[in-house]
Amino acid sequence: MGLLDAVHALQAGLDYHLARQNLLTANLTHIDTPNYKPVDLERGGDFTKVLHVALESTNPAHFGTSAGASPVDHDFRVVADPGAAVGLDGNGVNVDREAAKIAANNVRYDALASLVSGELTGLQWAVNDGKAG
Amino acid sequence: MSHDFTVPGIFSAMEVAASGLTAQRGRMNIIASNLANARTTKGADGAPYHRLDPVFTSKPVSPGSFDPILRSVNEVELSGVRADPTQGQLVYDPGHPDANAQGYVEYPNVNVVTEMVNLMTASRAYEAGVTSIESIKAMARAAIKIGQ
Amino acid sequence: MALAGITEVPQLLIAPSRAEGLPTPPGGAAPASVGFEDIFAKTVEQANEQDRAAAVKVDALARGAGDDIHGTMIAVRESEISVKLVGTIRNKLLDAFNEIWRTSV
Repeated sequence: MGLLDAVHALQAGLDYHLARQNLLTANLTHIDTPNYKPVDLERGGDFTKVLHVALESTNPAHFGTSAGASPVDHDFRVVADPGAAVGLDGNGVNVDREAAKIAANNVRYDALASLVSGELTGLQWAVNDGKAG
Repeated sequence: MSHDFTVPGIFSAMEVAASGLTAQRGRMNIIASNLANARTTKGADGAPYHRLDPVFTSKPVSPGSFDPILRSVNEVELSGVRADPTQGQLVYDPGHPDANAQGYVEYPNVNVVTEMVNLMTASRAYEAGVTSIESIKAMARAAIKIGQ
Repeated sequence: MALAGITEVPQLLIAPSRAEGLPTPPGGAAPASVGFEDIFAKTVEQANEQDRAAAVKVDALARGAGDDIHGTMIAVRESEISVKLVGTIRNKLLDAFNEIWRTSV
């Protein structure tokens, strides 16, 4: 268990929620676009293990990671939103559902940001040998 | 349906509130259709327009959840529309193209005042849903503040 | 209740002779370092446990497997308090030791 494992797990979570926010915001801007189907971001991996899978860029739907960009590996997939009911113009975006998803995603991001800040502060305290500074 | 939660918490509450917003918005669309067709004496099926009522149904957000409370949490769905079969106003007007054999024209059973009242009710319900979501977001922010 | 344990030790720091449940050596003198060591070890163990429990919750929230925001935040703060208490006790022990070291011949 490395010292920064928790921080990296949180950072992966923050990356995911930020990427997802981009997609959900795009859904909301396409509310009147004919034939537009809303998208969402899924992350893979077993929920019982922390994600540290080396990403092979064989599938074009995977996000690429530039070498050395971050200590965290990603395994995100853009998927079509299964819950979308389609309207007459082929547009499947439900403004209330997307707005609620955006709010929820925002909440999760804020929670993780608060936790990572606390984690780093705690490590800093320990590094300073248990004294303030 | 995939969703964000396994126990009743912030995220299930948001989904329930959002379902209410969608349902009320659908209801407003139906009311708009009624108002627009208040004088339509001949619809696509040849009959005069009959006003539509929304049909709301409840469905649990997570029926398979291990949590007993979450199994009882229901969201609302505008599952369909129901035509009001009441006969509309009959007006004697033999010269009208849609007059019947006796010279009467049947107008839609739409009462504009009733529809406007329903529209206001739906609008208030929508606002209540927005307030619910804001409230839920405030609770989440308060929970995050615990960690700071 | 995890927090109940960590309030025992501050009482000990303030007035060791008034601490309840502590073995008092014959003669009624202040408890020997043995009693203090037990409490200290217990506090460290508690801090470790709380730290582990908090880490599990944080990990769950990070991966989206958990929904419990306030539970996670409370667990993190509790573990912080426990860990800092261990640090404070350790500092006091060191200060006390240094004082004794300086005054001995």
